Amino acid sequence: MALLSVIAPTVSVSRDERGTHVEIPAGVNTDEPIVISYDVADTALVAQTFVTAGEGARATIVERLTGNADLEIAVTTTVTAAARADITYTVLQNVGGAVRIDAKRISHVGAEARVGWNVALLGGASVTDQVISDHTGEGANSEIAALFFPVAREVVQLTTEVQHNVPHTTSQTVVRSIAAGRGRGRYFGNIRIMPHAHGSEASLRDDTLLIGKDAKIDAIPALEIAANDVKAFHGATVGAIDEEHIFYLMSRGIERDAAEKLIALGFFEPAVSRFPGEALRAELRTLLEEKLAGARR
Amino acid sequence: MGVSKRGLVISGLRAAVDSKEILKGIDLTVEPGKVHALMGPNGSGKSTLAFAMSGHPNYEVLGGSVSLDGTDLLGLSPDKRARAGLFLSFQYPAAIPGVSVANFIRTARMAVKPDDLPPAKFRAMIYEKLEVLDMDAAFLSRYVNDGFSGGEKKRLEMLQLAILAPKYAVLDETDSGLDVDALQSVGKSIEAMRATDDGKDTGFLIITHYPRILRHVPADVVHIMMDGRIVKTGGPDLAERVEREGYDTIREEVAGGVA
Repeated sequence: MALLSVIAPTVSVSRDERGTHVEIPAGVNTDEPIVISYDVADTALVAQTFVTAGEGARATIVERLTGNADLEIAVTTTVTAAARADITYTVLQNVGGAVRIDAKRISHVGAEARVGWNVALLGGASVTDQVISDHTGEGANSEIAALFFPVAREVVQLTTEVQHNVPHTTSQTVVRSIAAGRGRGRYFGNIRIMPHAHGSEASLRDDTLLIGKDAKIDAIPALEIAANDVKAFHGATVGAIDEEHIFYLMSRGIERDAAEKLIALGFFEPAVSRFPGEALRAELRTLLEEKLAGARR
Repeated sequence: MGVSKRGLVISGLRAAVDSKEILKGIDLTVEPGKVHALMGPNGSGKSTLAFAMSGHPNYEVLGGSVSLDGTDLLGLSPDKRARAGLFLSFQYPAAIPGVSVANFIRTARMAVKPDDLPPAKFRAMIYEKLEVLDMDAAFLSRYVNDGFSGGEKKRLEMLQLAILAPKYAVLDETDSGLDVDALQSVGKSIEAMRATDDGKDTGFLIITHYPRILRHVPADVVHIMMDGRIVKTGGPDLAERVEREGYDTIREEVAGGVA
């Protein structure tokens, strides 16, 4: 047994009938992202992922959802981060136009631990995605960056919720959404600071751009603050592309369509720039660009 | 269109904003390679002229024409006017968050001058222009005008001018709000551009309140605009007179002439 303790513990990824299990033992740091891919056509209507990170563990997980089938898929993700763990969980959802998705994701963030959620919802006929981060230890930190982009007749509903249950925890939530065509969206942004969670800081920023008169996104923020001595910030905008911005770009020879495209892609950038790794960011930008090109009326 | 005439030719231009007539018949021709200054008190219609020529949607042209080396501009969308060779340096350029300066300038250059310059040459060109403007290369990865100081915005306008090398450039109060050093960089950049093959034939219409930018970029012709009309045209000394006397004596002289 003495010999075994010399061998460095490593990350394990396994699959069973319940789903995919990722275990990152205490103290283990992985630089390479752990990629979990689900093709909706191959899943038995559910895609479940469980991530358990020991004390001080650090890892980046990338969940890819692709494929197309006339199905409704249930997705669940559970991330449990022990004290001082640092887990980044990225979702790149790019399923085909027939798929309906109901996703529920939750993280339990221990003392001085950090969980970063990066969620990009790019496909599906009807998508509901819920991201909840529950702070269980003092000094816990959650960072949520999310974007969604309903076009044609797609419907997307995103909920983010951070629960500050203990003192001195922090959270930053950034959400960017664009609707084009007859795309519909709804965003619920919830921050809850519980009575004993003094010294906590939370910020929530959500911005929405509507392209065309038939596009619609409702953003409904809810800040529930029951503790004293906390800082909470919320900012939001919703609107169409500013004609002055279009004119400025056009005055440089750029055609109207190309100007709109530049502005729309730039609009997503504050969320995109929080995704881990240049390769992933480049991929995401390309997907957004393709979707934008297809969204033209 | 008849015989094409080289120059940015504005004739009888009338334009309105919110149904109010601001430009009441402007006649002005900027020849290739020449520098014209357009001066006048606030509210005389100088910026309206710049926006009307560029095709801003809020500016309604009521009559007259603007042609660029024989191409009628007024029927064209703003991007086509730019591709025909017109450039407007904005007094208050828009901030475009999320779009990097490098991406913006590359996209604009490819729109205005397609199929030239491989990436490496383009990069070398940008670095050279940045240096003339005393700008750091880090500037390129910032978002267009987002959080820029007044001086940085004007420098970015000048960087675009240098990169796009238009046939005609209208500079709308590029000098306003600049400190001495920034003004010198702007002047240097314009003169550097005029010294290149790309820029030696560029005609300028410099809209300004003050003659100080004209010490860096000397004007061949100076126009004074009042109440939507050009009331006086002269040589560089006219700008000096404005600085000495203000617009009042010119206003009286013009009124006297009419009476």
